[in-house]
Amino acid sequence: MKTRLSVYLIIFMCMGFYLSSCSSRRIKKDMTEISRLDDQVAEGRIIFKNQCQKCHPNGEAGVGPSLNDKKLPSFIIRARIRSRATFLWTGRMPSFSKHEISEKGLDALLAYLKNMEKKDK
Amino acid sequence: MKMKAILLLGCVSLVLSGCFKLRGHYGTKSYDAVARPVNSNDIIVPDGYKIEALPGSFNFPSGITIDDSGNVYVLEAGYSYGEIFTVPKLLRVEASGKQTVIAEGSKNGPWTAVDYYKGHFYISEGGSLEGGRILKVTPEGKISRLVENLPSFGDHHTDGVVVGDDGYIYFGQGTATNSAIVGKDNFDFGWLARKKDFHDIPCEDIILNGENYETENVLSEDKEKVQTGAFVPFGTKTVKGQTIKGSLPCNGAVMRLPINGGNVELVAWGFRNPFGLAFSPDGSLFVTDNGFDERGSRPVFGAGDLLFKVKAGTWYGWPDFSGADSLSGENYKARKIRPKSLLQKYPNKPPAPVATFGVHSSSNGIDFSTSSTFGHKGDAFVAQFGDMAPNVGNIYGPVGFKLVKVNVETGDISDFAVNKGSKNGPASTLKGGGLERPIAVKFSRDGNTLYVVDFGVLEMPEKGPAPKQNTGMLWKISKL
Ligand code: HEC
Repeated sequence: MKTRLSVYLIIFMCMGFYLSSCSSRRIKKDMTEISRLDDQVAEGRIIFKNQCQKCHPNGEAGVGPSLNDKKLPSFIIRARIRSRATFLWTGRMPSFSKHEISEKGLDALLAYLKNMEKKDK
Repeated sequence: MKMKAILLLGCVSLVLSGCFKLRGHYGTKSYDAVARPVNSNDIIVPDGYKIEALPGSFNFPSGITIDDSGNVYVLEAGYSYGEIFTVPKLLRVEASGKQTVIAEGSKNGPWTAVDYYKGHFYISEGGSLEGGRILKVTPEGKISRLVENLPSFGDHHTDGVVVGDDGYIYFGQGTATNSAIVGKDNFDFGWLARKKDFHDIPCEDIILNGENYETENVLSEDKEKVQTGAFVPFGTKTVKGQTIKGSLPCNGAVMRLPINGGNVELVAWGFRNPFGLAFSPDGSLFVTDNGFDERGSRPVFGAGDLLFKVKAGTWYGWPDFSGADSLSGENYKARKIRPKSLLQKYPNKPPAPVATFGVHSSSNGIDFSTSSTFGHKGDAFVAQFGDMAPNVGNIYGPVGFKLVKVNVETGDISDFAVNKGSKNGPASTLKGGGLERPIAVKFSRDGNTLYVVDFGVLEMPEKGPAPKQNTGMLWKISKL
């Protein structure tokens, strides 16, 4: 039963990963002033700029893939941020402990990432 | 179990073969000028601002300054990666596009930065052939050397120069190598064949861990194996506990000297390539530092370019830290090699950066807004030259090639001038008329206009960097 579950999980994540990597929708550049964002999104943005920006600059591709042109389920993003195991250790992205990004910080970060998708026009 | 393995393999190959394309080589190995279409409509700036192209072109422009009467001066480097030497020049530029030569340098570029202060120009001469220098230039073009023989023969040169209100000239000096080990990558750059004994010089005494890296001997016909340690010439081994004497001038440092010349003093060290220097409105010195590459004998993955507030007497972490992070953890591991710590003891705990820019973005020239008319008073504006991938490491998409704004209190970075379109990149690859490789920025004396120096087209074909002559230009951003 346990193996079965993990097989489904692998297929599921694999498809998500593949599909998400293929989209190429037009992006509006992120020039929003931080003062115009609500508090939680603004908090998430600061965390993003300090922890994620170097590899996903403003959500665009860099050392990591682009994030602003796709919709990954939140639970996968959360899991990936916390643990390298989420993409089966295949990746090069670091993981972030609760010490580095608190639970509240992670909620804010997710809110910011969702807001980034909304920029998509 | 077997099923899982097959699935995993399938998944990995699907993803790899799929849409995750890494950026490869592009362009042709030629330095000839190419046509550069210019269209400011291809660039987005925030609402309420406009960007315009100024007439005229420049050959590898690298710096900009403005005199007391508001005249604009542009520096032409006289050297570019790709090992092309031209004549370094200081030019006065009029709004009509007319250029007047104020001073010309010798074959010892790149001239990397210029600052005007009380009637004179101060230029940092990169010094790839004869060593780095700080030059003082009169308005009539008479050049005198305030300091020479700076250790500038390597990957990075004598950089950003700015005169402080304290009457000192502050400048950056880049490191010889990516991460303190001279190797094949330095041979590929071109300088190791010229300067076989050159290596990084620490600013203070350091004690080594005795890490050595094996490569083929690129300097001999036989290509036999040699071992190279940190802060020593190519092919020289080091041992645990070995002391390397510090001396001035040194590499990876911000140093200063009195405005009329005199002894070089250390301000802070442990930088990699402290390219851009600027004082904030409250008088603090800030420096942009180009982070590690994934190249050479001790490659480093995922190290961003950093913005630091300079605290005198402090060590900033090179070659063992990226900001406050030790490289020896899991996060900076390159494909096969984990960068081990080279130093046995650290002078201090390296400070965290003020902001972290894109890995390989080449975040270079910096200036601060001081005007409430222009807005964003106290924010830093940083020119991002853009990546030199794949030679510096692999990336999923172009990084940099734009102007960003940084809140130095929070580290919040946002785009301020960037090419339009669904993808990021230089105008030449986007087939547009926008930004190519911004390298320096400067506000006008009244603070209401922001000038952006655009180096021009530099492609990355397989044979190494290919800068195109006379494709540089100047942009101007102002409030509508
Ligand atoms: C050192 C570089 C680096 C940093 C820092 C980094 N990432 Fe990543 N990220 C990557 C890479 C590389 C990948 C591609 C998968 C892999 O190799 O792990 C990735 C993948 C992702 C994905 C999956 C994207 C997709 O297309 O499936 C998400 C979501 C993500 N990162 C979010 C973040 C967030 C949020 C942060 C900050 C907390 C962050 N990353 C910090 C390098 C980085």
